[in-house]
Amino acid sequence: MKEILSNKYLQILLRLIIGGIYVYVAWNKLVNPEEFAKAIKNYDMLPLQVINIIAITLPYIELFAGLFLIFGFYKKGSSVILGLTLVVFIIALTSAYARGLNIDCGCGFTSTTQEASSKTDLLVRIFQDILMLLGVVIIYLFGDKKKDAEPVPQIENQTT
Amino acid sequence: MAKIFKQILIITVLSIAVAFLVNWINPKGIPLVMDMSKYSTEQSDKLKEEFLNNPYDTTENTKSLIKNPRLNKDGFVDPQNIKLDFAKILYHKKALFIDARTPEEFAQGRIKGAINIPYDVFHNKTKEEKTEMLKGLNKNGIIVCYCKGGDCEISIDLAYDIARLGFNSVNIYIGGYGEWEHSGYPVEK
Repeated sequence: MKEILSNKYLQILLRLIIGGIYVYVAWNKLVNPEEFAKAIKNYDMLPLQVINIIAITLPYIELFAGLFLIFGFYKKGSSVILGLTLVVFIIALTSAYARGLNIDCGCGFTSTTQEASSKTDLLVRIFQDILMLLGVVIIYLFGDKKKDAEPVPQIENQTT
Repeated sequence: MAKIFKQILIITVLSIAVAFLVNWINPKGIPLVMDMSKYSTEQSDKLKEEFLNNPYDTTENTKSLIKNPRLNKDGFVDPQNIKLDFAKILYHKKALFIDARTPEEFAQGRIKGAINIPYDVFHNKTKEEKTEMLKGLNKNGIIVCYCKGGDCEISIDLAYDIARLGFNSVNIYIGGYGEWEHSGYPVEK
């Protein structure tokens, strides 16, 4: 199993898919920060004072983390960031689902104006995010270890 | 581990710096703090207190009770944002609830007894047509506009359209149908 998950081509494929999705959704969010801010507000989970700052910065964090993941730089760092965002999204979506909110999820999959999501849509989004989180964990744990791992101290031959 | 933290820090700082820079130069950029004044229900408690100190049947002509209508510079009384508790009181006082959503949404569920004036339709009518649509409504009766709640703005827009026609006590229930239904208050389908 470890060998399969560490497979170079699987890793590249996962990075391209997850990084690509993140770049796409980040772009949809950052071209219209006001709509994204409204979507965050709809969740009714954050103080109003911080909503715009999150709406301004989060899409760029997603964009850069997605790009770093695609190009294979800072894979561990970018996968941790994307993993954390996914955990937050899963919590927010689950909370919205539990509260029966009919809201635009703000997931960035469409660039149209706000549309309320049905409860089924929210469930689909939660499922998608869980799958992506799984992919991110695989990248983190089984990505190119040689490149990202801590340098192993060399034991030099002290013999003279 | 330190290396991963360093990577996270670099990506985050880079992203935040670019985000603020782009937001600053972008014409579509937004303020750092959301302008929520149009959704503010700060005055709701005060209005509720005034109403409770001077209760009246909202279905009757209340002109004498509205002693000094506070006209704005455009010559109409500004609609007031109200919260759930005050909306509930007005509901029991038989205020007129107006649902600003589409007929389809209205049919799917509404505050019991509400009438439907879809904002999208109403807003595009002429002043005469609007007046005709509201014929029969008491200009001094208490009106409460609502929509789905959350960030929905059509109840605010509809309330202003109605107030401009000379209605003196137009209120906006900001929580909307979502909050009302969630609170278990009377609805109908």
